[in-house]
Amino acid sequence: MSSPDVTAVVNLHHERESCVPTLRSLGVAASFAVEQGHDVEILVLLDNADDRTREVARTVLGDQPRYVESTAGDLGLARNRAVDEASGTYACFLDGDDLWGFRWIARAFEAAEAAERDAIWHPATNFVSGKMPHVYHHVGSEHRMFKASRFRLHNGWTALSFARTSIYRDIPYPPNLLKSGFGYEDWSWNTETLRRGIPHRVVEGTSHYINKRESSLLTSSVHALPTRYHTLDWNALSEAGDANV
Amino acid sequence: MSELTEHERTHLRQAFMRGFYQRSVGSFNGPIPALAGMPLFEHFLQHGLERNISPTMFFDSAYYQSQLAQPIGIPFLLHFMREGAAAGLKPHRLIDPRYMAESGTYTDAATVVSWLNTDAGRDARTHPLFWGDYYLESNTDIEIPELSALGHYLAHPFQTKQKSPREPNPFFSSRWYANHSTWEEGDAMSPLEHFVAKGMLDDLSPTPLFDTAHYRDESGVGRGPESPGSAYLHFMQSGLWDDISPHSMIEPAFLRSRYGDVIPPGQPAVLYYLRTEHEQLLQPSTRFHPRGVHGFQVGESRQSAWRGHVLERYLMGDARGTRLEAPLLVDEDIHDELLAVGEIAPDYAVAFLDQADGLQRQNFNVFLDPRTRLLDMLDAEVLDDTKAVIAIPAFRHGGAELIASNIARVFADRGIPTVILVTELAVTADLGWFPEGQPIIDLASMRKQLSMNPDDVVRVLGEFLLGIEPAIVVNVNSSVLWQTYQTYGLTLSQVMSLWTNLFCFDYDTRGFPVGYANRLVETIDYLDSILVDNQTFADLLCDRFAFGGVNAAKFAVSRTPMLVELEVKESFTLEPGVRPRALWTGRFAPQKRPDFCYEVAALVPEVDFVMYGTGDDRPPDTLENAIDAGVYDSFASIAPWEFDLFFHTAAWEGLPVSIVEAAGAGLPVVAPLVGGIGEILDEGTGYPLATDATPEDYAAAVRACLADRNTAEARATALRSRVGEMHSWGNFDEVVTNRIDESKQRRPGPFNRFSL
Repeated sequence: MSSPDVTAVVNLHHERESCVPTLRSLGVAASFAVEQGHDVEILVLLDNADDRTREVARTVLGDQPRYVESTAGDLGLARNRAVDEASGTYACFLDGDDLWGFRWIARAFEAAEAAERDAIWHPATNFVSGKMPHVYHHVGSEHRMFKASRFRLHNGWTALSFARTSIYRDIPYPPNLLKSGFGYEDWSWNTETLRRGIPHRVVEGTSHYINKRESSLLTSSVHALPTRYHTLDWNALSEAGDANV
Repeated sequence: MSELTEHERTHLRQAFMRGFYQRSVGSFNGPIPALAGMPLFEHFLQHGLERNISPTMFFDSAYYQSQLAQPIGIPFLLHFMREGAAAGLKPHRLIDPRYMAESGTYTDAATVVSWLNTDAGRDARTHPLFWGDYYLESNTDIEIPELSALGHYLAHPFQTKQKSPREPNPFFSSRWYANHSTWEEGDAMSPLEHFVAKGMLDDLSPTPLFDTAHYRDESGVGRGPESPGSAYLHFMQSGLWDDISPHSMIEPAFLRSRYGDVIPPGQPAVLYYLRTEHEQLLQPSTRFHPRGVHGFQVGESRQSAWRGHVLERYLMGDARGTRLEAPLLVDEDIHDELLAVGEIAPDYAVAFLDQADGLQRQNFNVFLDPRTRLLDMLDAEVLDDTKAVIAIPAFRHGGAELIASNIARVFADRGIPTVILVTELAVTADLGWFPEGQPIIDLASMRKQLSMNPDDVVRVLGEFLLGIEPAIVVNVNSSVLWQTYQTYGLTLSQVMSLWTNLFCFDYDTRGFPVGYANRLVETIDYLDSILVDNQTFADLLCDRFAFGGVNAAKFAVSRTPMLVELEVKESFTLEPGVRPRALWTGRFAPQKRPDFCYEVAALVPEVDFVMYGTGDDRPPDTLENAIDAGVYDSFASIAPWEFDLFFHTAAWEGLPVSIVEAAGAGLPVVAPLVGGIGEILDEGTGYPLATDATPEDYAAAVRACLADRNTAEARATALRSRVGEMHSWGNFDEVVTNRIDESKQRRPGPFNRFSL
């Protein structure tokens, strides 16, 4: 049996009923991709999940997806576990309180297949709800306005990326060490992939929906730096990033 | 003057403007027969023409004369009609017959002045920068124009209080130009004339929508002796039509890709954007979207056909802070996705859909938030090869500025391109202290303009420094840079050498030490150099915070150099019948204890205490010998050598420059041994007092100084000699240079990049 085109990963923990919209958006996006002729595997990664969250996932998604249990206790490591299990040529991630637009999987796959080289793909637009609703547009690393050096203080892309599964395997996520002031495993991962010369690109006409809760980790440590900050070669990053542009 | 031909007479009559001519005669500075009793046009032919009094606002005699290489024997206007037009001369700064001919507007240059006074010339583009058709279209309130567009523009001068200025072309902002040039309210020239006459020569931009440096990069149009022209003029003549980007936030290629199907054939993409952005909220680039700008309201502009551009107002800084009243613009595909998400989870989509569908007004965050804006503003000011940044809180005659300017001078002498960053109080005037070629970046004004909160400024400053990657950053009392060190010091110190300068602790009313020095605890690991102006303070800090080893070695005593060669006091003899005078300088603030001086003055009524300085706590009127002498520009300006002693009363200090300067002028000094004063003042060099000395102790010291003038002179001479050695430029230069070398050893990366 040939491997699926895409493994769509959703990471769950203790979301319980609050992840229902997330799972439904995943189901819709996967169905749309299948309608477009793409083969999609859904992988539900349950990291130290509670029973209620397990039940909700099965209620919404049924038995079709693969359910993988992990005890990583960390979002970055849980993603790595999902990558280990993924059988798709490409993989993409969804967190338990965020949503995908229905075209995301299909469009990202088509863009990746049409590209002349491997890249990390991001949606064009993020609708961020919460206390301060706003719209955040991604800018790709090859855009002339992108400045790699500024990446040191500002993570330019969300964690909900799409890329060849082998990229996630070659460059695993570091653990999230936010409590120590060096969190944002995705920032670190984005940085490392950029340093290695893999471009980050935008899939036009696609959107994600981010729920920025007051208690969200994203807002809890404004000044945290990327995980593995000390081991990153920032000068090499600047050179690689600027060469990308 | 040869006789007028009938043809010439006809055109002069056609060009003739009665009211204009009447006013011109009225203001003519010379003898001329009165207007009364003669038809105005006849008066012009008989008297005005030969005196070069212009009969029309389309002929500027003075400007015309400036184009003539030598005197001519006929009136300027006739010369223009007979020879000048053919030779390429212009009748007015804003009338370019050659441009008009090339653009097909009007081909008979010799009669252009009269033609403009006809219906046919009403909406003419008379100059690459004056678009008559645009002017009339964008000023629909000019219902029955008695004048052409150009005439109306010239007759209605721009006033800064105007809410919607009438602009000569869609790419001109009179208000912006007024704020960024030498044009002033009441100027005889309109902003456009001023720009043509002066602004173009300096390669200025008359609009926030045009970034000269960006355009030169995009177009490849350089600037130098071979190509001295105005980038803006080049854009208006060709770049606009060739779809060259005028600003990083306006990308013609993006506009074409997104709106190509509706941009009329042959129309520049940027022009289409300017014309319709207001109504349709077009996105000009990936970097900007009008939906993200606060404070913009559809239809608020009188000239809604053209004016009120969201981007222009955003760049000018007057669109922010209020509710967004524009619909959210999203791609059709994304709108579909929003609808689909709305079915699954209304909370994630409804607010955005309402906005997109115009059902509800919401207050959205900006896409290009003020942080990005501030970063762009900083980037625009900085030198490409900046290797050092020196931050100061304000730009006035103070100690921080003095130290910063001295460090800047060392950097300049070492060939280190340096920018000065003013972070807290807006720059109001040039100090003249910093070396030429070091840009002064007014971050204080920028952050005020953008109403930014301090956390955002800190973040932007961190990003800015990482973006330019200087080898050295020096903080001389900048609060925002201290916060940046505290927040991002670890990050910054990976790639640049962080320095700071400290003066002394301040003390609160309880006597507790406060001030920037306390921040060392958090930041010292990120710092390479801590400059202080006296050893005592360095020792105090090391003792207080238990700094030792590597951290203790980061302190360097950079004594403020005495750069001004002051006149030296010659005679110490007190003249009989002349009251002795003590000089006191400083801020009238608690730290300097002016009240202590008043108490001493009361105890020594035979001496006048002349007090200079800023501050509100001025000497009381009841004390005749405590004299409020106001503020002073420089120490030399108050002729210190003519005083009999220098009197200092501060409660705490570093090592005050005023004492160093007084010593340089040869004055005997009476001062407490606070801070580092004891490093230069002792019984052999002056009249030192204990930190807890009483007013009576001070009074005794003053009297001792005045009683024995031989001793006073000997001590003053010794002090001057000591200060001359310790506070020389050579010493300061050596200390700072050594720190550069040490930083280089500690962090070779940044320095190798620049081969410093």
